[in-house]
Amino acid sequence: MRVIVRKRVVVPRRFALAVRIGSVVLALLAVAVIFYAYGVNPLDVYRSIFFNAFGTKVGLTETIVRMMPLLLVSAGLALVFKTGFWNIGAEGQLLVGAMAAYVVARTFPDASSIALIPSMFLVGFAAGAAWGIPPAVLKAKLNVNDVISTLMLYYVIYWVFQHLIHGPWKARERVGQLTYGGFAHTEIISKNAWLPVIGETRIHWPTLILSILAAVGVYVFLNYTTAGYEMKVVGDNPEAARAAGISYLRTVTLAMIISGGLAGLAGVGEFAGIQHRFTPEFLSGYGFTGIITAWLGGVNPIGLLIANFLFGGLLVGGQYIMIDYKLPIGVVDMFNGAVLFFVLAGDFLLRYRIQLRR
Amino acid sequence: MDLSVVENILWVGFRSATPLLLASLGEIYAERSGILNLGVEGMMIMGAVSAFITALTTGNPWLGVAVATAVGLLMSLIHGVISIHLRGNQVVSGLALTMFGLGLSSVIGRKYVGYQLPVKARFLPKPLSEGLVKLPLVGKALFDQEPLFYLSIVIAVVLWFVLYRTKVGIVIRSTGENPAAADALGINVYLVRYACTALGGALAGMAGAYLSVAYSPAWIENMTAGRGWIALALTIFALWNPLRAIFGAYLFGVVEAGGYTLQAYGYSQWLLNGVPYLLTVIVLTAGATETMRRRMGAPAALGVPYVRGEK
Amino acid sequence: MASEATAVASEPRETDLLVKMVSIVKRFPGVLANDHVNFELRPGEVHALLGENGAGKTTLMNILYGIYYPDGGEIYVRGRRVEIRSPRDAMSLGIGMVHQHFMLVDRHTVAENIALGYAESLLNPLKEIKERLREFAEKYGLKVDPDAYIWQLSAGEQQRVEIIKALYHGADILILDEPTSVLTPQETRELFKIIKRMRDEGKGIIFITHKLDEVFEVADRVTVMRRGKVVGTLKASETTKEELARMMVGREVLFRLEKERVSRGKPVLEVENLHALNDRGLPAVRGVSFRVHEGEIFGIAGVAGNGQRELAEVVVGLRKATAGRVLIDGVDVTNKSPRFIASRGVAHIPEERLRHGIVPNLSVAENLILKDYYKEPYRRGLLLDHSKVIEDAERLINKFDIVTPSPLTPAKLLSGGNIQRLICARELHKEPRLIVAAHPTYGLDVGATEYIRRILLEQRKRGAAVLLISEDLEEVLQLSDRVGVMFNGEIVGIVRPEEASIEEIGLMMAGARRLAREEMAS
Repeated sequence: MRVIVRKRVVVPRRFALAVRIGSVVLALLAVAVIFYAYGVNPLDVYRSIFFNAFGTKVGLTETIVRMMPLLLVSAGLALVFKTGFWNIGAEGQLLVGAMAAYVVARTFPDASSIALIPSMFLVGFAAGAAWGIPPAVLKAKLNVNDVISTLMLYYVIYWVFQHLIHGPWKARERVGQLTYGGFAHTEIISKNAWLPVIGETRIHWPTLILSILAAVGVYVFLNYTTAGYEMKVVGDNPEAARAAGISYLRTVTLAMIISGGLAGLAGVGEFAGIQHRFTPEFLSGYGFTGIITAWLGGVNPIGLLIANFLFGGLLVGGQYIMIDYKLPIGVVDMFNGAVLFFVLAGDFLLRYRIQLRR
Repeated sequence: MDLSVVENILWVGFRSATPLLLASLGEIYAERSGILNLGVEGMMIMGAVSAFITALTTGNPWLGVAVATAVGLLMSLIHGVISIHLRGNQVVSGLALTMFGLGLSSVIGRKYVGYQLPVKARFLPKPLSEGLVKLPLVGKALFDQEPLFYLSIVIAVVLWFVLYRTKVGIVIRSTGENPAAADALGINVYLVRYACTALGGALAGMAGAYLSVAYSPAWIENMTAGRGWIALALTIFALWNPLRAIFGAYLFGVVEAGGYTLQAYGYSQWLLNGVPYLLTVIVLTAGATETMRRRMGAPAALGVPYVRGEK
Repeated sequence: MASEATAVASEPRETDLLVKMVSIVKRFPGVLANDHVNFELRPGEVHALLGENGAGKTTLMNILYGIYYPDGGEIYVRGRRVEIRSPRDAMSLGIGMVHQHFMLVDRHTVAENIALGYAESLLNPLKEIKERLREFAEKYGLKVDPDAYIWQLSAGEQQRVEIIKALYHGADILILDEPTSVLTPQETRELFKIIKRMRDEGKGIIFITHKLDEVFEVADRVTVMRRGKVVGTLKASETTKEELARMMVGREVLFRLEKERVSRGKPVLEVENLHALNDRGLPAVRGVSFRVHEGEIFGIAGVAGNGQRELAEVVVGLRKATAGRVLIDGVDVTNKSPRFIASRGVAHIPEERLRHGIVPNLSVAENLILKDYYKEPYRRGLLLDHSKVIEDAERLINKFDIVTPSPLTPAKLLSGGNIQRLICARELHKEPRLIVAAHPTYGLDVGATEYIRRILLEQRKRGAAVLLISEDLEEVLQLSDRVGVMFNGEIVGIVRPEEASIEEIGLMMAGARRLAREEMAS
């Protein structure tokens, strides 16, 4: 018996969808084995995740709350990945955006919401973009590895953030005020800077609108603008791009401005829409999960919406199983990793045809 | 600052360099064969948790190291299959390995959070000879260390020798530069790549073991704290040369240790925590300038799957 | 001499055959590369495998060397049925192969490249290799410096390393894939001497080529392939060039291209004392000066790696000049951006068209606007006018006969010839002043080659200046009005093809002769 592997020329759409779904199902099975070994019933866990994320009204709105930052982050990442640049540091760009919102809100505590909220988003976008630019320039000018530089800058800003909330930004203790679990935290920003929410939910609608605009926007940008065209050319063949006079530096920098900026917006939303102050646990990994959803969804609004809705639900359900089954928060990471493995393996079937022959 | 402070910085610095060195040696071999494995962090943390649990239950740190090495190796084979046989995207697969390792280690280590290793189950620094330790400045740093410190240097020298002075080294380097040329001469490209990827995983696992049974003998979630990524940067900084990796690792270690010492002088510990990561970017930039100047780059086929007869 | 050898080897028994391939079939997506092919090789013969690019010659030999596994058919080596699943299997059967694209590790030394496959000692493996290399130098005249890095060697020297690799293990079946394409005429003659010496030793040599003259110079027998099938096997002494050409192409072939007389106009491209470095930072172009006029094709001949590529890149703005000037229509464009230079009316047909010429995953239409997308009429503010893009694409597809299912088909799915047509359409539809064409027909079949050559001649007639760089000496001589010969970064002579002999040009390509300034054709 011989296994013969041949390259595919065309991939039927239905087959592609089936392979993707199959990959996720296999990942679920693999993680189930780990749950089982750990001593919890995987069926119960999955039922609990699914029910808590999608089965209740609160669950559904919470899933949307999680989907919003993921959508913003992954829309930008999907675009920057198109240029062949690996931005792994969206978590840092998100954090910088949130920190910028804090500065705006604290500097102008008495400004009206109409003025404050747009300015926070604007400044947050700029800050996230600014944090994303250096790796792009370093790669273009000196061929510095993008994966490492973007990630290292996340760690740098993370420790700057810790420094600030433990020191200069730390809230003064006042009698009668709750301290947050004994840890450092900042003051709560004034109510004028809080993002409005829909009814009783935690869905801060300005961010929801922005996130959907971002998912559609990157698609339009890539396919209908000259700058988007340049990104496709650079990503597919940098040498041909150079010969055509397309600047690698300009193209990748612009992509990182958009990607970092959108991550910054996610940070503003998370801060001004949900948490309203900083604690050491401000970050919850949207910048990393967004890498996966960007890769799964691509520059496609429908793809991004589906991927982020599902992974938002996973994050919500994950919260419950942490409490119910005493599982650590890392379960979500583990699941993310497993999904990626199986999707990568499934991709092989999309690119090649396997035949058995005697 | 008096001399004993400097002496202490060097001592701590060399200690914290050991895991960086081990992990980057492994990555050097993987990348020399053409496989980019960004999952070092994930393999390292799995090594750390498995070494810790093994040492805690058996009381034997060496057994911990052995298990960690095996676990790291197994982890790397996932990346190997995806990169080599399935021809998948090596960047994404490496990231997946990191996420998976961080997650799985926290699940496995859940019950052990906060535990400390009893003294007999740890590696402890032991002077090689009383006389040598008394040497000024470097005496303590070089001669008052635990066994893995010396082992890592021996491994570095051996790996350098194999890479540059033996046929195996020629085969590995050729596979990373031009796999088609190696294949045409009857070299089993896949086998070479699996072996180097596995070595990379084993050494990353060993690096993790060092963290949890020697450096800070306890289990803390995410205790690798980005060291896997620093090791990756070090690989580039070392220009894929094991001897240069020794130098790079100690440079990093000493800077990190210098940071801790400065804390005692009233500098913010948080900001100092961030210094190694900033240094990584700076060193990477400096290294990139040098590779550009000397026109030496990564192995030519790094990250490119090999398929016989396909261009 | 050739006929003597065939006489000795005539009518051998089955078991005396070195190689017998029976009814070999190999399919690739959309192509039947080998369609029930039969082939045999006797000891002590040079067997030419003749055919156009894409005829299936290399595929057949890659099957014999274990790089591909056939979909059908049988292989016998020395009368025994064999399965060749990898190059390792082939090597152990005594088969060696010199690939057209050398399988060498550039950053390693000669000795390291050989030790990769053959060193027996694990430690200090280079010592034994260096000793054996001395033997090869004596026995076959294959001299190389074992400590030289591959990237320092000329193509001819690299080929010597490849031959040594193939023979090192004592192979008696040697496959040479288009071995002369990178050699000067003198080096080619040297290679043929080596080949004949090996044949006289009793080795069997398979010689893949698409050049008819070489068949008569070196081969005893010739097998002609066309579109994956064997057309026939003949004795070289019993056939003619015309017959082989007809078998190869399937119709009568004209050996002369009609080149009209065109009167030359004012200079378009002026290159003055130009200097530039290669990718390794070493001087590659060293004081080159020449002019190309309206209605003139100026050819650059030379062995690969003598600065032709760098010269072309400086002219189109892809490489910085370290000294000297480049003028287009009297305007200094030295070290200007590629886009600026293109806007002065310079078209570029780059070498390695897949790498430099197209964006493989973008559509044909998107590839056609690569140089113009940022201008009217395609650009509307920040947006790209897709309907205009498609409309113009359809026009160009018709005008340049690009065979594609639709303008939206990804460019990578096109055949080599159609990719080159796509590039020509993009570069030439605006009637450029200067065309820089690097190896424009490399790897194309006869039909596509004729098409591209005709287009260049049409452009010349229109009044464009053409800078033609090619390793195919015949092509350069056929198309050019004047030919500059490059050696070691300099133009060592400028001649008119009708006045110079191949012999003389060959000497210049090898650096053995150079013309004084006043001898150069102007």
